Amino acid sequence: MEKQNIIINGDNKTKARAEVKLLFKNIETQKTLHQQEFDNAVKLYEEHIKSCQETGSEPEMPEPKFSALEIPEHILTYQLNCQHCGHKVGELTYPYTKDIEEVIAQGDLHTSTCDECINS
Amino acid sequence: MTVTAGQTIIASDFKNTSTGAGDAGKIPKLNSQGKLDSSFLKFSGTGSDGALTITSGTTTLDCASAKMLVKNYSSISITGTAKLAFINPHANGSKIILKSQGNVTITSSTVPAIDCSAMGAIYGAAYNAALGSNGGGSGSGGGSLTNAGSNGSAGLGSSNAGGNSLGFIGDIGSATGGGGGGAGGAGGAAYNSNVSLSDTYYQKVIVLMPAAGGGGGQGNTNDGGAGGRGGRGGGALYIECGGAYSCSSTISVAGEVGATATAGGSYYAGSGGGGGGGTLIILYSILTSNTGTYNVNGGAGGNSGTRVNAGGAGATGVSLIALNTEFA
Repeated sequence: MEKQNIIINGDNKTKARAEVKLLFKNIETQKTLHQQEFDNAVKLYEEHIKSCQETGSEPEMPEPKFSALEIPEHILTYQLNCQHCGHKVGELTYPYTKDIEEVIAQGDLHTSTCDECINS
Repeated sequence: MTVTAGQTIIASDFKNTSTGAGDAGKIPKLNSQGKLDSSFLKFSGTGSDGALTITSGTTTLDCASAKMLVKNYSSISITGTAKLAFINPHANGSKIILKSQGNVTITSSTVPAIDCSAMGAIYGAAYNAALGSNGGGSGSGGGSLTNAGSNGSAGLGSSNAGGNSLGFIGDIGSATGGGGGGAGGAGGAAYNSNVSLSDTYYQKVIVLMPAAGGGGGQGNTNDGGAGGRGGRGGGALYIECGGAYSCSSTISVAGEVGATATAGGSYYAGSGGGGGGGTLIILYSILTSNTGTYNVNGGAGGNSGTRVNAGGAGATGVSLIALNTEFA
């Protein structure tokens, strides 16, 4: 799964919510597939052991060991944009596991004005 | 997986940072400094407000008239030409607490890069009244945590009631706002001139108090004179840095300048007193560099001029920028 940076700004909050929802869905799907792969490996191993026991041969297949799925650190970025012209002046970033509604609420507490609008 | 008795411990059971409840049952691992990462500790907060990065413009946080504003950032970076400012302090001043689990980097060329000036107690309004054939005195400067404000100039003629002034009423005491004009109001008193921030810090006490506002000046409405209002006190700013601290910018908790009076046709009018300088405390876990300028000045009194008395200056505030050796 590729690392993803989900941008939230005044214009695309709905889009960002949908992206986060999709990201979580994809991660869950990846986790399910990862678990299924492990379950299949265990099943194969068990069949191999059973077969070895029946034939009296030494097992050759190593026992599968579960390792958690490595998930890239996705980032939620709330862009701090100028309230007058929309020019980006900064950002607030969070791990993807942060509730997007909290991210939006926190970000909305920051009001920004860019240098050009201050000086104009 | 939670570590339990009899279980084999593997590398992933050790955590050098904590993400919260999801890491319950794991084993803390020391970081490259041989210390516990700040995410395991209370000092430097929870990081729940994300990593703040601003590179230009002014980003403003609204205190919404609250006595206290607390932000829990995971890191703070104010670079380029960026400025972090605050609005709408409580009438008795606001305490602003910025916690950062990680690095705090402040290199912005804007002066100040963090502006907590005039976030202290409200100023005294100008006192304008029919004063017969008397002139108005000027307002006095507001007090700070450790210093008293300067007296205002005496008005001409007999003494009259001073203008409004308000001192900060904090959780632990108050500094006094400057007296209004008249025969020259007394300078606002300090909360406690024996307070040393270094001492209190090493006794594990943080004294964080915004400064008092300056007193209002007096004007005689009989001849069109108008006093100047006082300046608002400086705010109280506390930064906890759980990572590396680097600052080459200016951070201000200065008091506001008092307003200059409008002279009457015949009699003196008094300018407002300056607000007291606020309190600035920054504690860090690691120091990268500190060449910053920390402005805790009291606001100047409103100007003097033809038939205008100058306001008293606000008291100088206090600052402490130090390695955290006491708080976990």
